[in-house]
Amino acid sequence: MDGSSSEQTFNSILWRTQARVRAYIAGMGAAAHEVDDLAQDVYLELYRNFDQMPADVVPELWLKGIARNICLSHFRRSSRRGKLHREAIADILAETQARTEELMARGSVGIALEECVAKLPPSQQQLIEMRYQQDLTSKIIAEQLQSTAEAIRMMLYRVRIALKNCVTEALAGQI
Amino acid sequence: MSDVLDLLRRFVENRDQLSDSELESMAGALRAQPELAIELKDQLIVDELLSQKFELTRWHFLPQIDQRLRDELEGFTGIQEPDLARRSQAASESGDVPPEAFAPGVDVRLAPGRRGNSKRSAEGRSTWRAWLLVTVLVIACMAGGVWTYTDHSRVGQLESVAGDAQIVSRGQSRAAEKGSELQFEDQIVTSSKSSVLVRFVDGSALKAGSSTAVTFHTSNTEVRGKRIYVDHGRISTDVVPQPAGQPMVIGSANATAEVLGTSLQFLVAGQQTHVSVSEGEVKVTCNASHESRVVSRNEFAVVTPGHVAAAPSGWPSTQKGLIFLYETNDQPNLIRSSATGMNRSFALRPRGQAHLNHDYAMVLTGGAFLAEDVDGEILASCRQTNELTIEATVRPTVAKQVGPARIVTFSTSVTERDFTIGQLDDKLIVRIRTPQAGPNGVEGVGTGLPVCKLTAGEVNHVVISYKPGTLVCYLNGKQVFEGHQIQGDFRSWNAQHLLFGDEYAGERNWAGLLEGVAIYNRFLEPEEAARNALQYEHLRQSRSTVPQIRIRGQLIAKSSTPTLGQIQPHRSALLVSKYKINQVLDGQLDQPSVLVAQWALLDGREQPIVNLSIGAERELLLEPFDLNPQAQRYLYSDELSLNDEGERFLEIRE
Repeated sequence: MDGSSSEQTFNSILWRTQARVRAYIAGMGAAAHEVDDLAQDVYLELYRNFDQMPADVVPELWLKGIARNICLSHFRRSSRRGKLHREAIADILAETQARTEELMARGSVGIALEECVAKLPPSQQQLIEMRYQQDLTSKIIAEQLQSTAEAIRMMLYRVRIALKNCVTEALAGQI
Repeated sequence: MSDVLDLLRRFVENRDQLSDSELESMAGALRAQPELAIELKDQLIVDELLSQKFELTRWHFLPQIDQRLRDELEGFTGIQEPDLARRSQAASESGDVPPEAFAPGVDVRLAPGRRGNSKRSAEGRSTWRAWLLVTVLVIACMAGGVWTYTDHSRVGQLESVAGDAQIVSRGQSRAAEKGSELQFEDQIVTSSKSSVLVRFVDGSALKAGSSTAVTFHTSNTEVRGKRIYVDHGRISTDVVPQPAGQPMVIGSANATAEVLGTSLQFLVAGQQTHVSVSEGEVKVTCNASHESRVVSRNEFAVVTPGHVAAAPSGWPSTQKGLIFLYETNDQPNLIRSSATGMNRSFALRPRGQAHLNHDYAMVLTGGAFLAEDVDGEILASCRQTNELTIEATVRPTVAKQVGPARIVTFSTSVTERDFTIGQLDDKLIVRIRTPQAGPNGVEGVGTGLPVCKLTAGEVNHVVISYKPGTLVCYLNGKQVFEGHQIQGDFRSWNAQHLLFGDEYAGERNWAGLLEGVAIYNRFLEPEEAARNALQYEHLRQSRSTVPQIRIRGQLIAKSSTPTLGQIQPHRSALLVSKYKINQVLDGQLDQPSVLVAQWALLDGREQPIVNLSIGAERELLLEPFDLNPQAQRYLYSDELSLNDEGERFLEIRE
């Protein structure tokens, strides 16, 4: 990359897109602890080949293309069990247009999500806190709440659906 | 199917935990049922967004990628914050809409071929649609003008209506409903709890927020464009690129903004109009003086009678020398640690009766907040430069305070500190430890150096800046004090604790609200202090208003008091009570009784409601509970709402 203005543009693209690119990578089924590493690879790739990005393309779309290739390569190279199926799942998810992806294009999803979490009943907020702030597994949460891991996973699943619906509704009035 | 859903749930929790055969089953199910793939992807994305939002380790992505890029790329100079430098005002533009266009009875005419500002940002160079977020909060002086018009063609229709709103058309008022048609010169009026989304004929959209009146005007010239006048309230718009020479023009009593496919906010508060731009550029004109500024992406302008000032959006304007940041508790409040080079924030722990209000600002009456893990950073950074600036937005609730009452203090006791700003009577006082000022910072300055007057009940933006031998104070952006009474450097500083609202050992409580705290290890110049004051005021004005009601009520029912054991790991909890309304003292509430969430426990201590008897009468200040997200996680005891569908309120204690 040459020129400070290109670097400024790269900076700007990075700041504006990093949350959505990371979410896109997660949406392809990348393991949670690998999302940020893969996202770093994406921006490294973007930086190295910044001049190749067409002038009329939306940067985020370009980044998603890079992210898709990097994720698929990652699954192919992975020595983990089930890599073929992980790659297949990633392929399916890459082709799938999720409703949350449409919402993320509008921006302010983070704010809407926070507001929606604040509207949850205390018991569900506690679940979110234990899962995401304290990074506890369903098994540990179940032990603490005297429940089963399956029940906790089901509750989290439903809470995420509720949050998605709440965010959709919140952003429906926004433009 | 339940097996597949179980696989999905387990996959979302841990993508590595499924066996080969389980992954194969899942892949097959996703291929066969595309809806399942959508559901899974939604789950994964929401899971990721929650992780980004709440997991502290995820907050370090930018410094991590900064490090990675530095390691792997020769010549990479580091990630910077987006360029917020002001653009110089354009020497001359075409396509001006004269400010008098919004004066009563004046037709708007554009010269043929003139264009509005249409320069795009780098990201807007493509044909993509720029989302325009125009928030116009107009509490302006009502111009009261009635525009002449001849064109009654269709503006668009209401795409959605929340709550009760009205359409006023040629003096006749009717309920706004989804699908209602709008014509030019129609006015939309919303109540305090309603909003309306309008879809224009060309696909542009406009949302009228609560307590808003907005009129859709047009001109009777051969050149047409959307003319929107906001009498009061807030609008948001999504404007598709407008035809050449036909910009959308949004106006208020004292300002005009011309947009041609831009993303901006337009907010009017009293004598000020704030215009902030998130995409593209907007030309903002002061109607009185005709002074104009071009406001670009990530910048905003403030129009006052006779003047336009502009500044980069966001606060503070620069992170240089920033060692502690607390805007409000719902913000990331990230600073770059000088010790680690990583971005980080600092948690605040409440003590006593301290809690957060609906803006997530600190309510410090009867309590304090202790900042965790920042003491070493402040000590080391300030001793390095021997300079210090404390910036804060302060609203005392008591006019004359004693102590001095501590507002922001870096101290360990009433006799030892490195610095303190506090309030004595109605004055802001400063103490700074130097070899000359002593360990309590009082040698030669009595109980503290008074630097400005604080007005109770009002927002006071203060900046206190010190370099050896010189102390300066700015109040609401203007310098109000410069003195040389405090001399010396910080060589005698030692380890202290950063607190807000009281001394570390107590007994110096300050009554008021605090937010927007920034501590720097450098001296701030007047321009930066003024810019920061403007930026913070702009931030504050961008917030939605929360209505308050004051009542005299009689307690008729009360939920059980939660115990500390029940609320662990929390130490504070709300319970819901029911009051018969004997009198509404301020505001509006048309019902015989009300459900009120009140603090039962704060920092583990029982609050007055716990021992209040049924039948007791109290005066209460209330806000809608739904508009207090900061309180909702503390609602532990509510045995009344199930049988009462009335709106819940939160008792406000300031």
